[in-house]
Amino acid sequence: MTKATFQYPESSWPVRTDLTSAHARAWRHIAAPGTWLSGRERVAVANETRVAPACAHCDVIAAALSPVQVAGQHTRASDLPQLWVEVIHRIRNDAARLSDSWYESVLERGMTAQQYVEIVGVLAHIVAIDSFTDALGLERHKLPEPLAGEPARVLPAGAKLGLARVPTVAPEDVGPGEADLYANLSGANIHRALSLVPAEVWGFFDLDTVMYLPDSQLRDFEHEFRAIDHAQIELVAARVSALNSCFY
Amino acid sequence: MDPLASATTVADADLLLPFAEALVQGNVARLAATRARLAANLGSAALVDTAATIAIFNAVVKIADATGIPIEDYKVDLTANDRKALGIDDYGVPTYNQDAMDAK
Repeated sequence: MTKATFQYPESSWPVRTDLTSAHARAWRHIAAPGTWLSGRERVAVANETRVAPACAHCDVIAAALSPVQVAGQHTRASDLPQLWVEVIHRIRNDAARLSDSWYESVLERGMTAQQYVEIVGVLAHIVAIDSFTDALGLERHKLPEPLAGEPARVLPAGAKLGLARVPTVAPEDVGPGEADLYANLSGANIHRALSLVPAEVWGFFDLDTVMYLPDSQLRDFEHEFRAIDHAQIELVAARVSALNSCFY
Repeated sequence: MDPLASATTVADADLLLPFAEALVQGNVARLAATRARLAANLGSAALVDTAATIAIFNAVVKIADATGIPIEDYKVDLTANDRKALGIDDYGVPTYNQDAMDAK
């Protein structure tokens, strides 16, 4: 990956430098070996995420009363295992109808919870940055070249089932020898969602604090930090959530 | 005017909401038109920050739905009065259950 891929053209909209820097960090994060996935697998997940909206099988699934009623093969763009492709396409295209039983079937078919969470993390990075360039009418960034190396394969000791369908780490369960999973974060449920793979929490919320707001500014109604105000930001966020049928 | 925009007192909702809707719905023509209108009326910095907000929430919803995290109890409590005032609670607790739908 070259830094040049993240020089938003000066002739376009005035993208803040902190946004450009955060997007460049996210690109490096995607390319590097992860916690359970290699760099090659992570970039392949990113690519599969990009092509998923054009999948004809996903259109059939979306039209069905229940996604499990539909047999067929996804239109794929990678050599990832078929199960991974299914996971990526379902999350990208039909996330509001994901169920606990479907997730359990994914585990029964051989994916680990930590692989699943890392895939969700990579997918979320790509969706955020592609949505940004799409919104501004800019060309999408070329995906990074994967970096060599082995995944870290470190599982947080305090991860437990209970809050969500995936194991999560509560703020009080972050181990004494572990890096502060929730540094500068409140530990709200959305922060905990990816906590089975801490690197995805750090990566995604590095983006989130720049594209949305840092936690410290969320309720600072005495000051405005963006070119749209708190109320406008929350209105847009709520509308996007509703359009996605997400009720978190 | 967007019916949702006319139902809120948030400033410039008529510029912000159609832009968000066009992006999420993948309506390229409407996206270009709403982008131009937003930039012309609120400025390019507002356009960039609106785009960033839309984009990050387009990703946050994937994380929330894929992992199945619940909304925090305090947020449910915070909206209790509003739900009561609007009569939303009269419709009962949401019972939609994808697992039940999948089992049919």
